[in-house]
Amino acid sequence: MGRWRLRDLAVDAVRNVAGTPARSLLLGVVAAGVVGGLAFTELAFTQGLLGFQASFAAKGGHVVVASNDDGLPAARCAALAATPGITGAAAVEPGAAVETDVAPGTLFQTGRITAGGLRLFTAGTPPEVAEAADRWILGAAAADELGLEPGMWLSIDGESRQVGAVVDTEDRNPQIARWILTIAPPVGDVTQCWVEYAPGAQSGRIELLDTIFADTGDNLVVRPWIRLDEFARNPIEELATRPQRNAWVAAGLLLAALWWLATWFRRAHIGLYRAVGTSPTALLILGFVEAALPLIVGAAAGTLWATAAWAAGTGGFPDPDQARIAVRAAASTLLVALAAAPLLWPLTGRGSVAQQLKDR
Amino acid sequence: MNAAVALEGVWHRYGSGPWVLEGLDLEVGAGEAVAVMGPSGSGKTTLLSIAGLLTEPTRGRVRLGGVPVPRSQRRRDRLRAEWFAWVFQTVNVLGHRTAEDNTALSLLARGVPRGEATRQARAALGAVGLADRAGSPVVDLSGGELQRVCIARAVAAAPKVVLADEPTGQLDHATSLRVLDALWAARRPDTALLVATHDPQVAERCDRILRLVDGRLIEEPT
Repeated sequence: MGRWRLRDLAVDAVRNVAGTPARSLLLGVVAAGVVGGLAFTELAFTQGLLGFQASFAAKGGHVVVASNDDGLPAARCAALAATPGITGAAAVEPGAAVETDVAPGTLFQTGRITAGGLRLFTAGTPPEVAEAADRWILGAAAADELGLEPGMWLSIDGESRQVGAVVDTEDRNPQIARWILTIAPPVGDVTQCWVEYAPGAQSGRIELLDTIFADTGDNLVVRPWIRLDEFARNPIEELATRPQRNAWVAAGLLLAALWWLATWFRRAHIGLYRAVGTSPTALLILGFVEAALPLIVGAAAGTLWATAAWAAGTGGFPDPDQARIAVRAAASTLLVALAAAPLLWPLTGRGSVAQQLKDR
Repeated sequence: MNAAVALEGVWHRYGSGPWVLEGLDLEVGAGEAVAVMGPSGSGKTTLLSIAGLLTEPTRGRVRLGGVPVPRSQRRRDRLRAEWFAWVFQTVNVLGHRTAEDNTALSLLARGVPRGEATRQARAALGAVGLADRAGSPVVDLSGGELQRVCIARAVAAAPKVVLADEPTGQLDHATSLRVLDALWAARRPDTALLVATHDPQVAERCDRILRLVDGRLIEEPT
């Protein structure tokens, strides 16, 4: 005697799904809600982390400052900009406090900085430094107090130059908002070296500068621009310990439990399949296909709904890492549900066929 | 000639309850129709369950074609599917499927390709007078028609033994006659029929009538 052909078994399962639209639709809708809800939660949570990380980077969270009153080689500092994992480096030398011809009696801090270094103070909108060469670079507060704009002329201690750029340093370094800067070549010694690392370069930041400037004497101090202990948040740890990190197990079992409940009310159908000679393995396959169709469609619809709802709320599409986390949660939920949902079919098929056929 | 199905010295009880069957012997030959009658609770369904390998007797032995049935559950399952088809008192169908789909189930479960299974299912439905209802959803069929679908499903796969447990128990007189006509018309000449019933008109059609009294079978004159 033969056994069910796999294709015929699958066709039978599809016909059972199609023949019970209310049950299939209910399971699909619940799957969409559960999987979509979890995906949306992951998107919202990771958005919070990404927002924090962006804010952290904007405020100079990846900047490390080496300083030495005995002097640091400016050329060595500027050369760090070409090092892998470093996005910018600038040698900075504060100058004297000066008066201007525009506002006699008011002192402003002067300073010089190597080319390309302004972006370390003005995250996101670095001025065209090349055009500002040989011109004054004014902090926003200084420009406001002096009533100056780019292109105007300013004389300091008899040295007249055009204003090349006004830089807003409020977010990253409000201390230099009243500075008047000049772009200087990387020669001689300076007292500060600012280095911004790529966000992924997490370890060895301070140690690198300690090594590079180890020969500059005992007064070398290397410290992060933003002290990490001032920020209680650790995005990586938060991601790893987020409350919903294992919710896919519970969500998958919830969907499986719903299917088990539906299976319980179908004991007579299972008994009928057994009565005509369907083996436990064939029952397992039948149950799997019958569960898979609404679960897969529901989970896919739920994930798309979550993405669309999130995009509508934020006005943009998820970051690839966010999407990966959300899709992984959705797929894991689906896999748990698919693995667990059909199990009750062969288990249900262990009792008396005669009794099952009487069950309604 | 070996009996299609034989019960030898079968005793049975549920748990530590009273004995339902007490040293019962029964032989049903190929092509023979045997009715088992008796009051409710006398053990008719238990007898059919043991004969059809759904229940293992507390004591005693079942033979199929003269060969003792092994104790291995896996082999019993396989023999059950190969030898028996059932018609129950309660109608058991996939309510959301057509009569044709329900009838084809027993063939599909035996590995018959769907096209051929559908063709044979239509023929079986024709034999029980439901050719014109083959494509109808079973929810649209009457109680008598549903029972005839169950008979078509039982005989379509050409089992060696059909076990019928009160097949007309929930039908009126006229419908019962149509269902019995269908069962006798669709059954192959070599298919044994063991039917548990209260209904004299069912018993009258059988080759032998056995009455189950105090756990033992007593043959009645036909």
